[in-house]
Amino acid sequence: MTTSHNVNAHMGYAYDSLSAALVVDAPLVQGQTVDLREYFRQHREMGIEPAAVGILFHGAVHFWQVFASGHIANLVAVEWERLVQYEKTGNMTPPHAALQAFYTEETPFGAFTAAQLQETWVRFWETWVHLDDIDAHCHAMCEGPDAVIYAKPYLWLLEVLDGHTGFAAWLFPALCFNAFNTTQPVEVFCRAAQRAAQSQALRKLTKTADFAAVQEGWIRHWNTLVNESVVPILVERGNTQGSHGVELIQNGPLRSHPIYAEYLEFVASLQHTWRQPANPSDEAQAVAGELAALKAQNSDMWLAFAIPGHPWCRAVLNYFLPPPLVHSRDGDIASRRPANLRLRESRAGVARINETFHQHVLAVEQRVLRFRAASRAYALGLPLDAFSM
Amino acid sequence: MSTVPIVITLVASRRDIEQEQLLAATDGNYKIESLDVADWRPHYPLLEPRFVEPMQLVVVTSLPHIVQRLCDAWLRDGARGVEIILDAQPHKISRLTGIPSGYLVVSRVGKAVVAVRAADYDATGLAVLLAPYL
Repeated sequence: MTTSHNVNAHMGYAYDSLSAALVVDAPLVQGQTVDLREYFRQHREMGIEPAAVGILFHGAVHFWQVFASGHIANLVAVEWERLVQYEKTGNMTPPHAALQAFYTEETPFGAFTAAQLQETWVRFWETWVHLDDIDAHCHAMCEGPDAVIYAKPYLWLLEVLDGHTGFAAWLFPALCFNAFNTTQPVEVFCRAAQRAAQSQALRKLTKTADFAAVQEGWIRHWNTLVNESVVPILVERGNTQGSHGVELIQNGPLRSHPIYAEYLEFVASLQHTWRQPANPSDEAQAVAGELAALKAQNSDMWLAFAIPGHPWCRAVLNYFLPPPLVHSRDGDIASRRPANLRLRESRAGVARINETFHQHVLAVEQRVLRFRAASRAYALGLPLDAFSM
Repeated sequence: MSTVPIVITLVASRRDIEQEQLLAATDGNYKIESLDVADWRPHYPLLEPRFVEPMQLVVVTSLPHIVQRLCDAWLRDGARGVEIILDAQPHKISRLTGIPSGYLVVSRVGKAVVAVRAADYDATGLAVLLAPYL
């Protein structure tokens, strides 16, 4: 039987939002079996960034976006619902129109799709992990080896901001994070960028700003950046309160997803610790400093998801929400399941309790593999079992 | 089996296309006409298969050679299957259309799609299967 990580065996990297599995075709663990949270901690302590970590981080950002972004969580939810319906009824339906629009629809506001904007957003952070210098980062975004795929929305933004690389690096995360909490991310992104370009307050800020300290700027000026760009557009649209992905996971089809539903426990743990940063649990002591520093600057926990490449945010997210499973060249690395859930299972007399997400993700991957084979057969007009898996 | 030269477009990742280029360098029955970036998007939503640089190679070859490549490499790939798209001119053999591993599909708009499990066919059987199409 072919497993879904074999499906991606030659791809170097693949992230599958439907199964939440990440494939990194590079050595990661070098024969050691470690928990993913522990893996991140070890590298942080050593102060080194193996080449594969950028790719790993790229996948992790995708994973976190499902919790942070209502738009992205909705896409995963509609496809998951289609999978569940197929399993229940044996009938296949066409992909949801929202998915089609995400990948193909170009708006009059910018000649790129929401999918391209999302990938540029993720690429922004992956690049930032290695190049936290504004000019080097901008060069990598616009002219790096992946620029064909990832540069278009960023180049568009630079043009709107008259080529101001520092301003673009400041603004881009604020635009993307908020735009992807709406139903029209490309429209909101573009209109908010144009609004920012005309803002007197932001123009004044950019004249005096120290763009060598971009990371500080994200935290210190976050509210100004958002208020002078995205908020007026949301008000015009009558939608001042976007929705985070967590709300959709809690209340929609993803409630039955074996991975995303369990991760709600981790989000709750982060929320709880965020409320009491001075008194974290013993486990969370590892990132107590970062939590306290973030909280002191901005009271909104979602800032950690909005700027995941900032070292504080990265440490917090790696700790609280490490991706569930990475297939690497030399083995799989899984994260531990929430202790609360395992305890509940133990009290309920569950015979075999999985300590990590490993088996959970493998099982979901098999379901996704069968579903996609049937979906491909459906698209070709073949019987749904034409590609038996 | 007919050895009449035929022109096909092979669509695959850059890594796989490079293998075909190496082969063409030593095999006089496999002549490359052109090499371009292919217009391609992943077939499965929510799956980001990065580093698949889609390339297309126009080659002059023959049915026996295509069958040989299917048996030796393209259908042995544990990652993906093969689709032969007859609507395109030249006909297109794509390894990037999301066909599950181990399967060969022959498709034409408006005609019944043929899908077979590669394990059920040897080289002779594949040649008989494909002869009416290529």
